[in-house]
Amino acid sequence: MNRGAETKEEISKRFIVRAFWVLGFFILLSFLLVLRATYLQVLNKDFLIDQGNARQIREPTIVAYRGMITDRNDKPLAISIPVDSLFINHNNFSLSTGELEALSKILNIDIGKLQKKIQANKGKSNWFLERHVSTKLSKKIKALKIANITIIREYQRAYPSGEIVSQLLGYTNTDEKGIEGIELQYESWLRGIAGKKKVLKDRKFRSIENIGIIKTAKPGKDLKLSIDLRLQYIANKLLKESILEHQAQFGTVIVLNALTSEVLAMANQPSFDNNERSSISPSLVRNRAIIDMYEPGSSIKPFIIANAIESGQYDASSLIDTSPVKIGKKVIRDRTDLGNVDIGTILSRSSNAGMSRISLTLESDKLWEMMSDFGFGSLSSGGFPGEARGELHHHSQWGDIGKATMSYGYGISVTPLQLAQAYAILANDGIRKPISLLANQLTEGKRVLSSVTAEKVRAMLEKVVGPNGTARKASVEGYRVGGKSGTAWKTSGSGGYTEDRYRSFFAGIAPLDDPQLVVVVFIDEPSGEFYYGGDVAAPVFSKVISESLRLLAIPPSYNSSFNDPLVADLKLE
Amino acid sequence: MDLRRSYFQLLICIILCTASAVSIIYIKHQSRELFIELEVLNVQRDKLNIQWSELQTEENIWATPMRIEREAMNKLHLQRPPMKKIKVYEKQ
Repeated sequence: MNRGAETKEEISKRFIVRAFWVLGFFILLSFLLVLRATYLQVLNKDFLIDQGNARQIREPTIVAYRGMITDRNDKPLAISIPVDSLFINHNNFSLSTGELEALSKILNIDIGKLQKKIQANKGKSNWFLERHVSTKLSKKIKALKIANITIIREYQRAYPSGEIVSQLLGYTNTDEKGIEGIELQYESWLRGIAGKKKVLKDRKFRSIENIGIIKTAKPGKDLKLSIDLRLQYIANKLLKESILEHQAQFGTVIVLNALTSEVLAMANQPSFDNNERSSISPSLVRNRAIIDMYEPGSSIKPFIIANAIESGQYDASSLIDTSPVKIGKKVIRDRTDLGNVDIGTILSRSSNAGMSRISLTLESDKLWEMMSDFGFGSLSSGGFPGEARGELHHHSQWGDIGKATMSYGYGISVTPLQLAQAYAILANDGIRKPISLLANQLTEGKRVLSSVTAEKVRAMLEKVVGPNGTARKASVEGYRVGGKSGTAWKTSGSGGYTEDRYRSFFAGIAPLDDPQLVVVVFIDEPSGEFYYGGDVAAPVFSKVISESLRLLAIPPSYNSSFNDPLVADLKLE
Repeated sequence: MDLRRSYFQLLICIILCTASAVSIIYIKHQSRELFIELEVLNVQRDKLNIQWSELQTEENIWATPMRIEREAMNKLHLQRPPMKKIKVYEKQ
């Protein structure tokens, strides 16, 4: 065909056909594009978004620490420290001999043991090869680059004070959950709840944008105990020495701030180290100061006497017959007959007959009411786990014998903390403040005793440690102190009392011219030469008080054997 | 005249639009850089916190009253003075 022969018409027709093809091609192309776009944007959208997110979005946890527990001077008693755990998430995990050797060397575990553990977990995924390895060791393990071991950051409690405060603090389990003591009591306060956030990562796995918070982290709050670590240490040390010296089973010392009822020290011996959780024996974990109750023996007497004075029937000068008291078949007598003596002497010589005679003349309901007001038979610690309520029978169940024996501390059971609280009421001019294990908890007190009576009883307590009292060994050089010892028979398994096993108590107040401290000492089954409260518990009281007063810089009593301290200072300068 | 004016307005709009687009890119980049820095600092803070708690633990293990007493008595040969020699200053 000759092109030159084409007519104009023919040319335009060919052009139209060509244009049609080109246009068709482009329309087809754009149609394909639309199809592809629909495929990506509509049909396959979810899959693609997921894929993108999987590459870019991460959900790291936001760490929340468990709160620190400190003493009243901010000395840490319990801190969370980071540790690492070796997590296995492969269901056929195995190690080469070289890896096994290296790992056992770093972890200080026997190769055989390690192999056994791996064998036992064959076929499982998600298990721990080892938990709570120090961060130093985990770095070394990381350097080994063993496949399928993931190192997970966890936290563990450390107790820098070791066995000194262990029963009070308690401890946490491997997941850092409080399971004993303060750690349990304040679990919800201390616990940190880890959060989760969503972040965008770049190619180099750096976070480049916060997309949002999935779960807000709630860090644990710190807790400040009322404990003074220095006093706690002293109480522990002196108690330990005394238990060794008297071959006793165990013992407890409580130091209370008399004015605020804050617990400054609460020691139990023998003790345990709550950092070594594998070797904890249940009997050592008991915070006996709060969760065990005992018949207090004569240390209960000041409260019966307070009631007697408050009733108006007796005064400090009233004379009481201390000859044996006969109730039914039971005869209550003293070791030596003191004759007719005043109330102060009954206390200082610890006459059971005299006490019974006083008690029997008191109105039962009033006596019961006042004993309850002193805190006997009711919880006192503000929720310490396992706390004992003690035992104060209702007055309708007493009978004459019950009423008489209660006056010298039998048929009534108290915790050492309750005893401390009751003495604090005498020290604080008759005002009862709730016991506090936390620092700076200011609370209103409640008057349960007139201040005049409280002062009279305190004066009698001073005579107990005086030259004619039963607890001369409780006296403290330079300070006026007062208190009352108690010696109680232990109950035997058959229901009666044993004749040769005792509990030895002393509770007291210092300094008497301006009461600041209440100390309760309790020692179980001293089996040496001595067992009386005045011989076993009283010396511990004296030492604890003397050290505590010195540490707290409480000035000596003025009318003591000391020179007037102010005058002495002036002469020095 | 009118037509020229609208062209001019269009041009300004295009320039503004481009400028804002570029600035968005720039600011986004800046914010990412800063965020990376923040994350690094956060990690550093966590590490320092950990170190602090470890140091605190260590300090308190060194400073237990038991150890202080032992060191004072055995190494420094300190003694507790008898009560009669202790003078207490009264707070003014």
